[in-house]
Amino acid sequence: MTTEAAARGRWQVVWPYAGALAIALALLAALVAMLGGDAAQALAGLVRSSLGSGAGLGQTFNKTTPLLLGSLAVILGLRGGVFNIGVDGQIYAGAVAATGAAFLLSTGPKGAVLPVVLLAGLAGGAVWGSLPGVLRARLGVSEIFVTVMLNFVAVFLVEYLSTGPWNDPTAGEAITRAIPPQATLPYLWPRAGAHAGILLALAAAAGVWWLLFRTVFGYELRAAGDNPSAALLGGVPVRRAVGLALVASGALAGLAGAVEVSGFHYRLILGLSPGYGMMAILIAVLSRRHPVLAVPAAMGFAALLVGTDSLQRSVGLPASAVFVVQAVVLLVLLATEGVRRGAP
Amino acid sequence: MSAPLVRLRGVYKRFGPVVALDGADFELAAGEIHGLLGENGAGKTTLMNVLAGLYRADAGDLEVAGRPVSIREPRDAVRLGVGMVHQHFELVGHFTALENVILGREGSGWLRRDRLRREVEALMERVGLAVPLDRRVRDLPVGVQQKVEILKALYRGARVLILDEPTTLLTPQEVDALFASLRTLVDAGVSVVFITHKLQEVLRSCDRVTVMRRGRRVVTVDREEADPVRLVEWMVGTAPPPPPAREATRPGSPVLELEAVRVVDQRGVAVLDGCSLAVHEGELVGVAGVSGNGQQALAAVVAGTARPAAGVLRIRGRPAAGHGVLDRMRAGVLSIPEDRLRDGILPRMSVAENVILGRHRLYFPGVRYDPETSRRLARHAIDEFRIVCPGPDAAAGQLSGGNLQRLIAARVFHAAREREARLLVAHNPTRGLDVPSTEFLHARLVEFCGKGGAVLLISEDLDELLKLADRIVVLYRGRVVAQFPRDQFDRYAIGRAMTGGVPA
Repeated sequence: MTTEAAARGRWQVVWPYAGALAIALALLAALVAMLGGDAAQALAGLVRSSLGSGAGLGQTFNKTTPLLLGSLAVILGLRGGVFNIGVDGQIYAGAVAATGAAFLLSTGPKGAVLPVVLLAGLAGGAVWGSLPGVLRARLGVSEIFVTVMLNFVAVFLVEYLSTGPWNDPTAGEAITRAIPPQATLPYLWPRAGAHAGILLALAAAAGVWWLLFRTVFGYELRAAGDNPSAALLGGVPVRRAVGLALVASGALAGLAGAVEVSGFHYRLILGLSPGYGMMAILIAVLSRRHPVLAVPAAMGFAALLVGTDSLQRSVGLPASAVFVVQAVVLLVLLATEGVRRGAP
Repeated sequence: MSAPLVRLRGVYKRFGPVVALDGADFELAAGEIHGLLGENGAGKTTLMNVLAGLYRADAGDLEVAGRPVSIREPRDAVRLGVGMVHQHFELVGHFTALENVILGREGSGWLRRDRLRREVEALMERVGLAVPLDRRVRDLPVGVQQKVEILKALYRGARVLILDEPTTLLTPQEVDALFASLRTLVDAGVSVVFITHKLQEVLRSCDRVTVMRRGRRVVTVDREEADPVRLVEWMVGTAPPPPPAREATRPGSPVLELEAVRVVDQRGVAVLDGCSLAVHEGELVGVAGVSGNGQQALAAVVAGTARPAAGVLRIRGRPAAGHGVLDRMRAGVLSIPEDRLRDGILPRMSVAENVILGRHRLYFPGVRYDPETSRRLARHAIDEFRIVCPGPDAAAGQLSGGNLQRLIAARVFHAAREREARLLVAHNPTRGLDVPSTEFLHARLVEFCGKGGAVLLISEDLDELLKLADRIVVLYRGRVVAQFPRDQFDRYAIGRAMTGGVPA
């Protein structure tokens, strides 16, 4: 391909995103105006509260972490041809495992406890992903049903733990006792309140890229996801690859759960994931299943969440409006994609 | 000559950077069978898709019955009496033949349906095409499905019937029957465009021939003015390379042996049932048969994607019935799948990633995958197999059918070299390919045999088998019912065996 064509191709990729962003902002402005607010001021406030200030940026980083890890989980699944819509359940499973590990190791040195807690999160998510993985690989059971069902199981498990054995009796809520300080993630940027999870998420993005594009396993995973029958005839152990895709996908989501516990909440809480799993699917689609593009996509999403959250306070924008805006962004992107490709 | 029934002038169509039609012209006279001949990528199908409303031309004039028309979508074409039967049928598999024919005009209730049924039966009578109306289409043989497609087009009022490569899947008898029914159709007032790249069919069945090359018309001639040599010259621009000579081989030891192999599919039907055959070193065994008689199961069981429920399967003398694809590869078995889109290509992955498929563990025995190695192999393949594509990083799904097959051939024959492969299973390897690509692939198969390799060539193109095979076995209802050594090749005897008749 000539560089000229490549450059043109790159612009064709960029403009739907720009268009979607413009439409999303216009819609937001319209919503604010409808509510009687000053649209320009609100938009400026949105940018300032999410990206334009230290504290805002810190919040955006913290929100980026679970979104990025979750979308990487979805991407890994999609590349292997499986639709993991159980990221929320795997986040909870990882959070449970991480919290449990933190309670068990409450006396150890920080240098040892924190890695174990994070690994426990990975393992918890992996276990949650292995169930649909094994069922899919061995029996051909659709991962969609199994992962959705396991979402409920995980939520009930968290409800039981946070109100039962691990309950914090002083709180009077469905939250557990705080984890010991040795199990907490250090701050990356203390003044902004940003924990080091973003570094883990960025490393995970690089790792997923490496896994997908620079390992034989990743090659076979992509082959199995692209066309299972051709991959099978090419000697790829398709069922194993697809099953492992779900396990690895679950592990990434589990890490997100562990980071939320050890970096943000310092405990297991029932509302740990406000639908990160669903947003992760949107981000995975927006980033065209590419782990590196998922970084800006997740960050943009996080900024939108943080910014609209502040609008909720400053101009009284209803929380559901945020989801409307997110949905519109996605629809605009999908529509522009369709137009760009053109009818056959 | 009076005004043609259909006239296309200066039709221009591009897909991205590819110019598919570069000012193509075409005229169809009323009441003729018109052959449209050309290599793959010459623009035959694209031009007819413009007429059928599937593609919109970028420029050019369309006339039907002397009146300028604009065809924007298939509905417009149907209204003008243009119907097309595509290479890949557009039938609803779990509907009956009748439901497929009347699709879109079902009306409601049984009364109307009875009337529609009588209409379809009258139509079948009139045009001499009979199909079992109450059978589900997916249970019907391909030849019958094709008739359903033709009936569907006629039922919608087609006066111009376009057939895209209609004989690919048919037995010689079925081809004869098709040509006979085309004559009946012409007598009933239908004009036929017959897209093909088989010269014999054009010479046998058509009144006139238009040859296309590179998106343009080369010539339109009456059949009397056409002969094979000139037609090929018009198609390819140069004289074709001589066919590979198959010398009588002295077969060596057996490479593949099947004894009473039985394969049961997911529905519980025995698709191979007591199938026995052997292929020896340096031997090319052709498997003839009407599609759906166990060819897919035979290819799958030899390639290792299906396991026999009973019987013995030996590779180079060793029992291998329970082995999978990887074991087969290690034992030196390679395969060219029948359906290249379904079983051969990773459409969203790059050409490079496709070229290395099946050899990736050979090149990358460890953990790491090196894209540069794949690219290097792909560049080599692109050069040697003349694959037309933007480069190693282009998505394989963008390639045309012929180039996809070249890609798969590059993968297989390079692997054959690297692994010292002993057995190649090729299922319809040249279906839909143009003349040079077919010749190229044939030469490769012959070369592979010449080096002591064994080839099991499963093909629905009898001419291909007659040209290449040392021995032809006929597969009928899951078993080998007849064998023909090279000195006993007889097209009609083989054809009879293919349809279950006793070989003469």
